[in-house]
Amino acid sequence: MTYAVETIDLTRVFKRGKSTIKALDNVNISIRKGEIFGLLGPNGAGKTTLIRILATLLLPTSGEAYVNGYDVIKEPDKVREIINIVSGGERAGYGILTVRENLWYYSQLYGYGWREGWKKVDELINLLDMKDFANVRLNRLSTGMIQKYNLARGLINDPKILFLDEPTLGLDVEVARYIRKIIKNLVRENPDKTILLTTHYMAEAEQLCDRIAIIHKGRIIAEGTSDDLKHMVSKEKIFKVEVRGIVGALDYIRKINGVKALTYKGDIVTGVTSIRLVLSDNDLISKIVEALNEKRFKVLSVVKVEPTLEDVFLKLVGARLVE
Amino acid sequence: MDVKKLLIRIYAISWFAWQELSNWTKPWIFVLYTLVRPLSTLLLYAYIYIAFAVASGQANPAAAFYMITGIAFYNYIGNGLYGIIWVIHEEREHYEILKYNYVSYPSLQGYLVCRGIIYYILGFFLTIIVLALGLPLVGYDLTNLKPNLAVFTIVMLLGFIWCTSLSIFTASLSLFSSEYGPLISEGMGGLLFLTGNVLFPAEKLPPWLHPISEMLPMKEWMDLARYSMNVDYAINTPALMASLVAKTIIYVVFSTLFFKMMDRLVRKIGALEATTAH
Amino acid sequence: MNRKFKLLFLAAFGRAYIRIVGGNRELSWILWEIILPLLMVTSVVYAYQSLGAPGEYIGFVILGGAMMSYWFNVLWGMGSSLYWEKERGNLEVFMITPAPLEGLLLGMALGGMFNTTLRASSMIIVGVLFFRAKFVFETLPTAFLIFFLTLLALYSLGMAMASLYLMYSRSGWRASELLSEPIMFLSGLYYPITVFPMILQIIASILPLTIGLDGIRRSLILGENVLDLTWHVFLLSAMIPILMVIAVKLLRYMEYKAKREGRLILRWM
Repeated sequence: MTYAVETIDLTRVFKRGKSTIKALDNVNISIRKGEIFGLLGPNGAGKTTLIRILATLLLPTSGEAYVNGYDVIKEPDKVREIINIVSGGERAGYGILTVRENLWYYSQLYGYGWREGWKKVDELINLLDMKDFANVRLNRLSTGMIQKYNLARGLINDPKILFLDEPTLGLDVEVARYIRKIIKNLVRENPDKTILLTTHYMAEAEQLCDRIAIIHKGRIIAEGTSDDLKHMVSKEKIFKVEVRGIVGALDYIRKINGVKALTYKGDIVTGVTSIRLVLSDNDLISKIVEALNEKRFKVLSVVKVEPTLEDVFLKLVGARLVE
Repeated sequence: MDVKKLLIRIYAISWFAWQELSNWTKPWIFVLYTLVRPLSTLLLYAYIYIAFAVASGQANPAAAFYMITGIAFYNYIGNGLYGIIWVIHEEREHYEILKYNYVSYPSLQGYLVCRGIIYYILGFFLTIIVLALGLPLVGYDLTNLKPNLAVFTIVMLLGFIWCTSLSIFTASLSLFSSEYGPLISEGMGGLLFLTGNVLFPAEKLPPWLHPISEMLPMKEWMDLARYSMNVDYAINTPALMASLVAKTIIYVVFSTLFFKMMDRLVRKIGALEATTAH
Repeated sequence: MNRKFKLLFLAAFGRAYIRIVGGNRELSWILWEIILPLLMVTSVVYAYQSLGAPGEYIGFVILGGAMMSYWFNVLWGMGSSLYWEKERGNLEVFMITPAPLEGLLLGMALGGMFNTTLRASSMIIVGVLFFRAKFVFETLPTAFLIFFLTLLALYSLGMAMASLYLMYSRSGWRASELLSEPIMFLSGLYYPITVFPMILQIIASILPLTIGLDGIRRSLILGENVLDLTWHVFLLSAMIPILMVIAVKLLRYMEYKAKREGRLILRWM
């Protein structure tokens, strides 16, 4: 079977002066055609590096990568015909030209020719509801509008494989929701399209992706559907405890036998700390409440919660996905 | 005024200007790069004289001295001009950091002045090198030089002041043109080159250009710079010095007020962060 | 192969569109692109006049200034444009398309040529009307032939230099800055290179701009025709394929090296 994207022991090392950074470490993924595949990981995990290699912008240090069966190293021209990238948080484009003109330019780079190019531009403007600002120069657009334009540019060549690198980064809730809807519809209406989506927003990964891989420090540490991954922590007992006050390192709680993982986040405005615990046994929670009381922290609430991808990450890595 | 804080800021900004100028390569390559351009310019313009000497079959030491000193001292002014005017364009278009620098330093004008300091220091050294190499190149006997250090020091100082003021004025214009910053710098440099007694006396220009030449302090400055190299260079030194000092004061006052006005206006129309790309 | 050529031309057309239409949306270009470049050239003309140099030297300077505009378009219009594309993130978006990089560079060059031709033409017009430069217009076809061959050679050279920006960005910018004045000098911008020592003349003759400028001057000022300038035509014709091959190979190599070291997508370097 030819996968849409396949990597075999893919490694990428960066040398910066005297230091060495291993951005990707023997990454093996296989993405089926028609899938929306999510790559979830914190900043610096290697998500963008992987996308860059698959998009032929970067060569791997070792290993192999194939896009629709084409080798990204030996057959980059064939790869480029069928892919596109949309990155979040970027303002690439020609500010002095309008949205229409920018899109037309990219249509030329894919060989559309004059008439077909403008026709394609109009199609995309309608698809992404950009009529109101289609004739406005790029340097006058808001972040949300620019991201819509970016997405349109990413669809200009009807790519078989679309790489979305944190596409909703920095967008407000409404625009982000709109972008996600477009992404979902894209694959639903075009079953031959495949999307590789990188994100550090769990909810986005859960909402959009058929399968998810979790990447941390350049390594894939887990892979499967959202349910498969949550099942990894389903046996765990996950509790959320809120206490009044900003707590310290909580080492005294970590030392309690049966506490598998712990993270906490203090809100200095409300003066409340939220502690998330992964325990081996339900009964341990009373010990933890006791320990907090001994330290004179008032426990406001104790709730048992369903596992999320955050907990999967927490279990595997021992830290929060989003700090 | 907190002098210590001011000095720290001046140091930090100058340090940054130096890094931006030099940290793209190894030191010896930077030195090579810094020297190659002005020395090539020296050759380019020195051969204008040499080509003439070949065509006419006779030397003209006075003309040779005039041209080489013009080219040499232009390095000082040109460097300073570029070092300040280019900042707006670079920080807005390239690094997109102008807004952060704007809010972190008490005045953008002061920030620009500090950014220029390194360029003047560099320009000073280039001036000396070009003089030392250029005069012998055109057959001028260096033993004919009779420098006046006091006048030289005053000329360098006044040059820094009026050129900085002119650069500030020009930089304030570039606030409104996100794309043409470098060309504004080139344009002002070209105007000074044409009308400032650099390669030839400004009197040779058509009459309609004379008012521009009179408005700019470059003419007086150039002649005084030549005088500082050779006191036999025949000029009315007191009159020129007085004229230069007067123009410098006017430029300082005018540029400060104009910059404040433009600074306010650009924020009013919302163009401080405007970028463009094509 | 057909698709490759189609993409090359479409990319060139698209990029030239951006340069011409986008670049001229602010009318201030008339001042910057036409009037200001005259300042340096007119300074030299006045310098020659004040020295009492012969009349032909005015023509030398005007033609030198006009041709230099094209060199600057090559140096800055291609190379620095690539630098800015990289800094703004447009280069990586281009590189994931199937369009060849040569198309992007060609588009930049063609787009810049519009303004450059206006600049060069204005210099010649000012030179003739204002400074009474004298040209032999009967030999215009010869001059155009040499001009055309020189442009082809220059743009190949420009492509080779632009490739440095893929890898070296800021250093590439500095390299272009470094080359400006030495090339201006060696090509005989303001005077015939016969005033140089022989060794310098030989070195200068390696540059296509030197040969082209000399040929154009000989035809338009001294009235020499194509038979008198066979050597110039031959040299330029020989340089063009050599420079093109070097340019394409260097472009490929730099692209590979930049991707290998992860510099293609690195900014502010």
